[in-house]
Parts: sequence; structure tokens; C-alpha cells
Amino acid sequence: MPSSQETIDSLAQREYKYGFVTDIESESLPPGINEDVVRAISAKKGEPDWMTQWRLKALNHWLTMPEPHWPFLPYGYGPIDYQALSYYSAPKRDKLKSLDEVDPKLLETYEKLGIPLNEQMALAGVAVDAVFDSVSVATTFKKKLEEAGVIFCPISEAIREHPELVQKYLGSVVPYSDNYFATLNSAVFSDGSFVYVPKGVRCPMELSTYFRINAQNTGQFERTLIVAEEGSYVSYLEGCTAPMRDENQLHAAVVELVAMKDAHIKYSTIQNWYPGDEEGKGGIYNFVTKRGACRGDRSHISWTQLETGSAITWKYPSVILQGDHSKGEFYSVAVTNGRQQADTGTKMIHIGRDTSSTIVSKGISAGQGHNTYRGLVKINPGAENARNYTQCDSMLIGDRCGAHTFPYIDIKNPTAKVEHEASTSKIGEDQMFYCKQRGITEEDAVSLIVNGFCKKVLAELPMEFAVEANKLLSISLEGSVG
Amino acid sequence: MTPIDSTTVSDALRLESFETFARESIAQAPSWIRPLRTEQLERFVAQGLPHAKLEAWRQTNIDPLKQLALTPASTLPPAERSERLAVPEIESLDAVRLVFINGRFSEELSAIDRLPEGVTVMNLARAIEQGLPEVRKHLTQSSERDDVFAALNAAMVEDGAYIRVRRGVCSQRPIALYYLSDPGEQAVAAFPRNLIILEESSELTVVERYVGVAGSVYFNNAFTEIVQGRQANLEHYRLQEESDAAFHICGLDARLDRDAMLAAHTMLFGGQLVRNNIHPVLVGENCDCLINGLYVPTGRQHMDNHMRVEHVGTHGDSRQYYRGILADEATSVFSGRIVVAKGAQKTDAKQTNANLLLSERAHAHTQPQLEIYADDVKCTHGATVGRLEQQQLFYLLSRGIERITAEAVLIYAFAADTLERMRSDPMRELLKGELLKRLPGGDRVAGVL
Repeated sequence: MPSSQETIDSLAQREYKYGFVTDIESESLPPGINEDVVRAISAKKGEPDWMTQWRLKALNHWLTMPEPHWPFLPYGYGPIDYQALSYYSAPKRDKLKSLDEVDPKLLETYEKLGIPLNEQMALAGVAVDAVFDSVSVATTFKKKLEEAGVIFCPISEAIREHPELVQKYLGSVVPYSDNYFATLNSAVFSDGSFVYVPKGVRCPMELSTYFRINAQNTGQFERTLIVAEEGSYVSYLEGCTAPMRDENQLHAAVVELVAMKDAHIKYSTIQNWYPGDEEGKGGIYNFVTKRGACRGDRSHISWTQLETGSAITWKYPSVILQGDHSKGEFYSVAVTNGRQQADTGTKMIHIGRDTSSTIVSKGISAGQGHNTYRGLVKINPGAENARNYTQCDSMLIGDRCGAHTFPYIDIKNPTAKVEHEASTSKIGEDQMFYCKQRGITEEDAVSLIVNGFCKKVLAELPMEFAVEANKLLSISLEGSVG
Repeated sequence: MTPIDSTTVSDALRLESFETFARESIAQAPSWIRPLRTEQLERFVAQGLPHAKLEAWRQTNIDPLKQLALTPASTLPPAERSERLAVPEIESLDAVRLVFINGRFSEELSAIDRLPEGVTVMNLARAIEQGLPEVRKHLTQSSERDDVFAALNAAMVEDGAYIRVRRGVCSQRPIALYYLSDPGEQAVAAFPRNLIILEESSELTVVERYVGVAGSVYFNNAFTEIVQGRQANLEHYRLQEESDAAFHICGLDARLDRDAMLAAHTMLFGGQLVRNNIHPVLVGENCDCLINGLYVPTGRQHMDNHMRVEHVGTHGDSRQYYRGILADEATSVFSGRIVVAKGAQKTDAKQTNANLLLSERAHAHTQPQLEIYADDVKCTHGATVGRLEQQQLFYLLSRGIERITAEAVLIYAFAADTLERMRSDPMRELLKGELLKRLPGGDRVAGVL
């Protein structure tokens, strides 16, 4: 197929759609990390002493930790100079009361991203807590949420206004000493979101935050904490795009979810950060720790993710199934194109009785991308009648990419029922022939088949994201016919 | 693990301090092999002994082995026979017989007779002494680069079996290698190595059987190197029935040329700590490779199986079937990886691992893995861990069959697939017997099945 080669070429040369740098004066700390920097970040946020101490504890622990290098990344990545990063960067203005006060340039950025704050909120009924670099600049629909008793605010605000909640739950799922990048995050996190849903409340709307990395050489260290009390429900959406730049950027976020008895948290992610150019230069390092704890009986946490961006994705959204009958789910589509590398998957840790988990992972490799599924299913001795179903399928498009599957299955209770299935395939010639014969263009046919391949996962996304997800998938794979 | 007290033995040394001993031993070896062994020793030294932080050793703790004061087998006077062990000959097999005691060849017990024309069989020490060209060409050439015990074995290589089948020869007689371990009071470390060369269009069956004096502590680091020419067909069996206190680390490394067929069967019964590395490389196109295994740990045995099936040539076909039956506090590891290299199109690779837990305290770790760099391939893997199906058990119980018998029937059924993949009737019958002997209630069903 001569045309497919052309389309592959055109795809390879396609410019990153969201690559632009907004020129706003940032108030940044000088590069480097030490006690003073951590204290300065804490002071800028007006944090109480316990928070500062917690950060320092994390910093001191981080300094003793060796940097891990175990992910399966065939192209590797250059060393990260942690002293060359600036750990704080905020848009210069503060204390915004309404959108009118927001820097017009900032609003323009959102326009370009296709997030007209005011319109979208009204249309979709979505409260957007927009994070521009590290400081939340606008939080809307707050009133409606307040009526329901839901707290949805930047975490820095929560630290000041709801210290008892933050102190109780921060670090309770991902302790400050958890791993190298989570510990770094604990020391220097700039901002993020905090959600608290009280007992019995069904959150009246989908919550969403847009993260965006701006200001060169600034690592983004977001911290998200979501607590769902007994019998409550919340659905949280997170979507990302980042401007084009040359140096690799480190993104080490931490997301903690706490679901109490009968609570249900649904966390959805669309990640489309800058993946680097054709040689894999530039692009985001996405080293994120995401973990949820099902603390009570019948609590339920589900992760849904669509990962199409980043030079390197290295993350394992996990669920700790502590409560009896609790349930964990992981639905993921990861696309690697160009020279992108992904080592991602999930961990399901069964502790309570009759716990169940479902893992559906779809990896698509195109161009010279490498996609690795790495997942752990652990059944502890006390987890009677635990149940796990894992399906991880890989699709290869082109002959220079790679798809790898490394599951870890660790069973310590014989009553467990664990199934793991994996397959690797390419887009079948017969499938293509069938579509083309019916007058469907090559590109549409690929998009159709890929969408079918990912259907099980995409169906889990909330409506607001599903449209964007479909669009993103077809853009990511335009023309890459096998 | 069994407590070990062998500190009183004077020549004994720990694994970590093997370097000096190995250098002395290399200095006495024929000159042509010195560079090869030295190179492998350097690798052993450079890599150091495995620890739990290494991905490949995460679930297997070799500390008890590290703490063992070992006596290298080559420092002992050669034994022609064992007082405590008889050769566990497989009668109906009618095989050429090579017997090794503590890793060293015993001429007296062996019977290398009625060799088909074109088949060369001798002990490796002799082949090294003679400096045969094939041995110079192939020995230690296939050792996996990141396997430290393969390097140690190659650095210490002294004896084992050397087998060569010439072009076009189909040997009707199998070759059986019996490794007897009778270490006495000392914890003997032996490093047997087998080199099997099958030239174009040849055919052979090889059986390796490892037995040891019950309760004795020793370390067997065995390695088998297989080179198969075009269309060569090898059926390989490894039956491991070491003492329950023994350490057994073995490797099998095979290179397959175009249209070659390899069937590697493994049955693991003995050893307190067992590591089984299998690494076939399908170099030529259209190769066929079957990796078939059964591990049956009981008590506090730990059995670790590491497979790496590499597809390099196109149209390769590989199947891995590994099954484990775990009782008491036994633990097992299965880590299987299919690697499909760039350009190995039309590969069809399959991998399954199933584990049957007979006790609450038995643990199975399984990691079926795929690493794929070609797009036109079919690769699947699957793993299961579970206990006896309660419905099936109920079915049998409700028909008046005693529980112990019913369980034995179901356990046997779980393992039967593995046995049925074996082409050699005597081997299948032997292994069936060995399995039933070890199953509670196995004697009751032996006559029926």
C-alpha cells in the first residue's frame, strides 16, 4: 500500500497541535532543591507548620533514596538533573475573585485548548478547577457544590481551610516515603485539587480539572486528594495538554483516593502531553503515583485512562481493596507513536474478603513507539474468595514498534480465582479489505477498527470525555496503517 | 530450610569466594579452554551473586545457598560407584547409559554400547581433553549473558556429557544421563555440563535424570547446551528428583536452525531450592519449539522456573505449557517471557502457566510476559492459579468415591496434559508412576488410570 507509507510520513511530521508557550510573567523560585526551597514553597502557600514539617520530612527522606531505573524503556532517557529544575512557578497575580480578573492571555490559552471556561461550564454542567502551572486561578460552580456539602478546591486552600481533613487523609494512601517520585512530590508539591464528599451525598456534577504545564524548566508537581465518605459518589475527570518545548520536563504527580463504606469514586484521565519530536527529543516524563484505597465494605474505585501523550509514561494507578466485597477497576488505552515509551498498568491488592477486581488494558503501538503493560494482582492470605479478571491486548501498527506485557500474579490464598489473558495482534488485512471494499477510506477504517479494539475502555469514560477521546484517538493514529 | 552445619569441613568455601578456587582450577585445564572459562569467570565475578533486588530473583531468596560452605566436587577423589544409591535406570527405555557421581563420570556404571552409526557419545572431560573441534566451537557459546549461574557453570566446567549426532542420522536409541549425588557429610558443589549437537536432519531423544541421597545437602549447578542444525529433531527430558535438602540450579540453552524441532520436557520433584532456566532461541525460520513442564513442590520446597523463548527467524512456532501442583508450604515461581525480535514475522507463540494450590499456605507467583518487536505475529499467554474445582470434587464424592481418591483423580487429571505431550512411551509411563507415587491417594488410582 503506497498510500499508507505517505500517510505514515505525514503523520510523523504532524506538529503537536497544542504546542505553544503562553508568555506570562511567572514568579519562579531559582532552580534547585533544598530545605530553603521547600520552606519557601510552604511559606508562599501560607501553610501551617505541620505541613511544612511534613514536606521537610519528605525532603530528608528523598535525599536518602536512590533514583529507580527499572522500567522497560528501550530508548531509555537522559539523566534528570534535579538541581536544575525550578520547583515553583506561579502566574504572577493572586487573589482572583472572578474570571474578569484573570489574565486575558491565560484565558486565551484556554480558548486555544478548546476550553472556554464560561461556556463549557454552562453547556456541560462541569465545574472546572483550572490549574495553570501550579496555582488554581478559577474555581467555579463552587456554590452548587457547597449546597450539596461537597468541598472542591485547590489543595493549598484546603490545607488552610480544612486542615483537619487534609491532615487526616494526606499521605494515608501514598505515604511520603512511598517511592522516589512520590516523595519528591510530597516535599515540593505546588498545588492540585482537593475533593471531599460527605456521607450519603451523590456529587451533583462531574468534577474536572485541567492541568497544563507552562513556564520552561518547571517540573509540575500536582497533588490530588479525593475523599468519599460512606455511601457517597463522585466522578472526577482530569485532562492534560502541554506546550511544545525542547527540554524534557518532569511531571511527578500524586493522586490519592479514599473511598469509605459503600462509596464509589470514578477517576478518569485523558493525558495528551507533548510527546517529543520525531527523534523523541523534548516531551514530558510522566512519572505519576496514583493509588486508591477501598477502606470500607462494598466500596468501589475505578480508574479509566486514555494515554496518548508524553515522551515517557511510567505509572500504575492502583487500588487497595481493604473492605470486604470492595471492588477495583482499571480500564486503560495507551497509545505510543513516534518514539514514545510507556511502562504502565495497574496494581490490585486484595486484602478483604470477597473482593473483586477487573483490569482491561489496551495498548496500541505505532511508529517506533514501545508500549509495556506491567500489572500486579496480589491476593493476600486473608482475601477469601477474591476474584480477578485481567485482559490486556496489544495492537501493533507498523514493524518498528514494540508491545510488551509483564503481569505479576501473586496468590497467597487458594480460594482466589484469578484469570489473566493477553494477546498481541495487528490490524488484520481482511478487516481492512472488508472496510475498503465498502468504500471506507483507509484512515477511517483504521480509526474504526482501533475504536472497536478500545470500545470496552472508551465506554467507561464519562460522556464529556468520550467525544474528546474518540477525536484524540483518531488524531493519534491518523494514517498509521499496517 | 534445613539447617546446615558444615563449617568443620576444611576445604569448604562459600559461593561468593569461588573465584580463587576457579582460577586455580582453570590453570590446570587444557590450554584451549582456559580463555573461555576465564571469560565466563569474569562475568560471574562482575555480576556477583543474585539478590532479591534483582527483577529476575525477586521471589527467590538464595541466602541459604550463599551461607552454605561448599566443597567443589573436583577436590574429592573420583568415585566409581555410590554405596547408597543405585542407578535409577529406566528399564524399558533401552538407552545408552552415562552415569555421573557428584558430577563426575563413572566409567564402571556407564554403558556406552550399541551406538548407532554417526552418533558420538562420551563424557565431556574426555572431549575437552581431546580438544574436539565441535567442542571448541560450541562449548560455552550459548550461555545466556545475564544468567550468573550459567556463567559459574561454564567457568567451572569439567565434566558432563558430550553428544553429537551426524547429519541425517536418526538415532533409535535414546541416551540417558544419570546424575547421582552422594555427597556424604560435605555439601558438595558440582557443575555438570552437557553439550548436545544435532547436525542437519538428525534425530535423538535425551533423558537427564538427577537423583540424590535422601536428606543430604549439596549444590548441583547443571547446564545443558543444545545446538540443532536444519531440520534436526530433539526430544529432551529432564527429571529432577534431588534430595529435598539439595540446591538445584539448572539451565537449558538451545539454538535452533531452520526447520528444527525441539521438545523440552521438565519434571521437578526434589530440591529445597530449585531454579530452572530454559532459553531456546529460534534462529532459523520455521522452527518448532515445545516447552513442557510440571513442578510438584511439597513441604517447604521452592521451585522457580524462568523461561525465555526467543524468536529470531520468521514463521517460528513455540508453545510453553508449565503446570504446578503445590502442597503444604511450598512456593513456586513461573516467569516466562516470549521475545519476538524485529523481523520475526509470522511468529506464533503461546504460553500458559497453571497452578494448583492444595494447601492454604502454598504460594504461587506467576509472570507470563511478552516482549514483541514485530507486528505480524500471534502471541498469547495465560496464567491461572486456583484450587481443586469444588464442583468436580462434589461430583465424584456424590458418587461414593472417597475424598482422598477423588482428589487424587482430579490432581492427576490436572497433570495429565503435561504427560500426554511426551512422545516417548517409556518416559510417559515412568513419569506417571513417579507422579502418582508422590500424590496422596495416588496408589489407589494407579491401577485405574
